[in-house]
Amino acid sequence: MTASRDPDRLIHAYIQEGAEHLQDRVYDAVRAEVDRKRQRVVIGPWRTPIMNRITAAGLGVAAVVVALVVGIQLLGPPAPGGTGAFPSAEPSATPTPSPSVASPSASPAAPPALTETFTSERYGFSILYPAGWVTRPATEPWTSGIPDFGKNDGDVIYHPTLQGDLWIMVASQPQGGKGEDQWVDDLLTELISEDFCDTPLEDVTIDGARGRECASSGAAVSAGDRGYLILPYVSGDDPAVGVTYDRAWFEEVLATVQLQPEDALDVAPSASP
Amino acid sequence: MQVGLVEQAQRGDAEAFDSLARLVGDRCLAIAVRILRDIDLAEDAVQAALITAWTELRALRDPSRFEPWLHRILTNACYAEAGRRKRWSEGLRILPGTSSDTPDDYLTVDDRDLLERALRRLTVQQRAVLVFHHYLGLSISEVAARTGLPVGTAKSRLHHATRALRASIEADSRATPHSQERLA
Repeated sequence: MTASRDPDRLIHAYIQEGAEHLQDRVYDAVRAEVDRKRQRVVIGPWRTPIMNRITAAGLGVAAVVVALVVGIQLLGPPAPGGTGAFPSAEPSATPTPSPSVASPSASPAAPPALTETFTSERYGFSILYPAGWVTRPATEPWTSGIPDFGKNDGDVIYHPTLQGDLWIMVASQPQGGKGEDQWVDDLLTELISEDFCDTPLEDVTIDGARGRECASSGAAVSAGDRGYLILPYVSGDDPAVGVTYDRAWFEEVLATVQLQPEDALDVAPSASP
Repeated sequence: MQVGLVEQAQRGDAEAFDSLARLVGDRCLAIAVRILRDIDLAEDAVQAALITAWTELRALRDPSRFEPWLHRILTNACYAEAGRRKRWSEGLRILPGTSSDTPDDYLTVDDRDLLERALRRLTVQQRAVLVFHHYLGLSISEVAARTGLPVGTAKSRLHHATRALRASIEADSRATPHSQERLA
């Protein structure tokens, strides 16, 4: 093979070729779905609420300052010569009520107690969850990607009314010959790339199994030759929800997880890239 | 402009998302068709990826990273479509030979036939790294980001894919006297 028929050049040249125009009907189909589907917010249950607390506190302080300034101006003595900013202010004028500074963080509702038990027949674990929440066991094995509320490859426990806005998902799979650390690292790499996981990561132990926990959400641990993913989700649409179901609550849930990898239904090794 | 559209779309503006999709759709199709080697599957993958991008858009923290983020989703959509193709292989449609928008004079018809067969022998994951590297001209670390692989894995996958492709080309050229004449 001569340099002029260099296989690398052939490969490169051939990969440049191919269709490069997406048909309008595809855009139309996407648009129809977009009009029908609601956007989902994937935000760690503690990052946004923490931000909201700070923001709410800041806004509260600002509101008080504004209220004080306005109140002083309204109630204060008129400027000499009666040419003040509010010449028409009557002695009977009542102070402007200051805006409410109550914030969702001021009195967060206590999260419900974890009184119910879900035992996974597919993935080999049990977990406690609040009364009234709905369980939806996986109907398909988790073999690739990240299990999600909209998919059927994770055991999902969700809030009865908030549904896709507040849930916990657990799934497990054989490690497919990977070492414990490698499986956890690979999964976290994928979680991070999919924006499900904020760094820095922290070591975590769940029911004696070692793994890593994201700063924002989710934990991956390895038990024997089986890897587990526990992924909570709280929508940022309603900050009050995130205040109630905060990181401390998730840690409480994590502490109830019991892993029984020997009870899991084995599936083919992960096909994840 | 794209960042502004992303921000609007993140606030739920479907019109902005439609405009955004039309900005990036052609490139997505180009990537998908090169990975999947099938125009219908590629269109399905792009459609699925764009819909996923819409539902997950608020999770994108840096709007300037929209396209790499979308390509990561697209890669997964391609893997899913490839899985479907395996299950429904009897319905496989090959990439139309006339689909080339800018044919390279360097390649003959026989070259294209040989390369197409060689590419089809690769796994979809191998083709993904090849496409991101050769078609988009991305560095290994960027390829890794768009395929969700550790850098080392992306590097070795690209190496193995290229080696397999070369071997396949050489085997084909040995088996086909006509090709051998061209490549010799």
